Amino acid sequence: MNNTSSQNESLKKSLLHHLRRAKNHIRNRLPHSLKEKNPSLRKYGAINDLYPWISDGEIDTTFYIYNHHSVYYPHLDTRTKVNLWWFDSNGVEIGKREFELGVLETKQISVATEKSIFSSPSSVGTLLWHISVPKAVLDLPECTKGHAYFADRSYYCFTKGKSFAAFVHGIDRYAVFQKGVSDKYDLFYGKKGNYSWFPEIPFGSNLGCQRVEIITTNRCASSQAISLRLRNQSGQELFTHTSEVAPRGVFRYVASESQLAALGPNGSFDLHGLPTQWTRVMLLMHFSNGAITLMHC
Amino acid sequence: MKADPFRLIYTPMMVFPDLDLEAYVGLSSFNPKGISNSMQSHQVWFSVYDPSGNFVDRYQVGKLAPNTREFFPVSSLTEKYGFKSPYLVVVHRVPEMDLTNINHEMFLMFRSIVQYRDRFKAFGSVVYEAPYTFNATKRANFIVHSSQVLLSTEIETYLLLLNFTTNSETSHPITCTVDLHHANGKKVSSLRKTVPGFTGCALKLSELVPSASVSETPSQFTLVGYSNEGILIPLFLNVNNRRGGVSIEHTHPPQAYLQMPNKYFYEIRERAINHFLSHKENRLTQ
Repeated sequence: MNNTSSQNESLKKSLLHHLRRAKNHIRNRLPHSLKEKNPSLRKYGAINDLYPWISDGEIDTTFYIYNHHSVYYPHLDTRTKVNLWWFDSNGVEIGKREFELGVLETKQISVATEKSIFSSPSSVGTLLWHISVPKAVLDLPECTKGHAYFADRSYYCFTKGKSFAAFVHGIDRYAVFQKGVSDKYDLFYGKKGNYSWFPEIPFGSNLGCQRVEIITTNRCASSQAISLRLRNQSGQELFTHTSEVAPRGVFRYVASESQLAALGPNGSFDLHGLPTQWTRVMLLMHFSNGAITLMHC
Repeated sequence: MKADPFRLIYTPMMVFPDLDLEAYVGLSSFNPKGISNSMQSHQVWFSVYDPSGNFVDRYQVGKLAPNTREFFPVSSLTEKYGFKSPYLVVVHRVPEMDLTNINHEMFLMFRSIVQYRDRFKAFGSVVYEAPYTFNATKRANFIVHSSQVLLSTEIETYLLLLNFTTNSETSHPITCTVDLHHANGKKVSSLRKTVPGFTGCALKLSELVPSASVSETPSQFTLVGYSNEGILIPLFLNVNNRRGGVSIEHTHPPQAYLQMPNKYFYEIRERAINHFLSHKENRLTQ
């Protein structure tokens, strides 16, 4: 009996193995447009994130726009141009501009100095930029035949005066710029989703922070009600907050020192109604010595 | 096949006694999607290596109940060894369950929070996960770039380089080169550094720039690091030693930037590494 069962199991595994091989064989011969599930990724071009920013007199945000094409194509002329678009906390465009970017060059963009081009005052918002794929790269076979997309995983920095700076990288994807076109884009995510996220960080009095800001953005085309729940170690929900976040808008919640104390040493927070699976959040933490730190989780 | 219980969920991290930073690790018994094995308890173990990369000890430091999260003080839990130089600790979570038919894919996205706290009670944290096999083949290369280098009379940036593999048979010293560039793209300096297996180091990047470049106003530099000898794990650590304040963030491999078929990707990566290796001007060796 055991022997028959073992033979059946072996036959099943063998069949599955051959089916997988056949599936891969067929898949490899399909045209790219049929293989690629995301309709925004069937050509070639660049993928960019939507970055949150704060510039409220205490905290400023600096973006480091780096010509990463120069690293991967050091033998080519990778001079290019950058377009950037500023949005307020409701996702409304409040400014845009364009500049050149040299080989291996980094342009440092501080929100405080950019505010002069904003059409309306804002202290919180989002930023989208696009480093055009250099002409010499666009002509390569990885683009024309390989459907290459260049994702920009740039870093940005929340600063407080000249003394404190904390970096984090872009954590998701927002816009897909096709081929060499830089004045319009497709959305990486089509329909909005409804995801939950349970960050692993023990969250509460153990952090010793004066306050913690929980920040994320809506990378979908429609507004979304995002809910936050703060819990103590037993999982009991002590504080909740829901806000309707417009497309390209910002979700921002400030957990005070007294709230952190109420959560105890190993509390937690979780988010619901997130528009994309990888929305995740930034934590901007303020310490009693004046320092700040930033992390994604 | 029985999976190695100490490789299902593990996190290699460095402890830096010489930087006056206390290392902690934040662990959970679930992944951030909140569903996989959330009702599972886990034993927490440390594997400790000495500053030369020799395995010293593996022992259980605690336990995580189902659906909980907790910080473990890595520096104080390993201070009994008296190491004065940077050393590697691998943090393991071992699920308390029958592991006979366990697949490591059941534990994807089980990340850890690596945290460094300073004497001012400020800290910086970074979250990452490690794959079931990492750096397990001898032939490998890496290239990394980041604009996280900020230097001033108050702010220092360290490049942390960690040489870790899940296959001790393939462990070997890895020599890498780091180039520092001005914001305008011009190269400032270059350094070659060898990192022995199961060790790590913190490169003080202010030592790579002329002292005149460091003033009260922070100056930003961009770093390109590369090696054709293996893969190092690079992290950036920004600290304010005068007033307190720590920030740490990981980097991304080229795969995160280049989304294309492998045949193009491998060629681009190798060509870029060889190009940078061939430019040896201003290069120091440490």
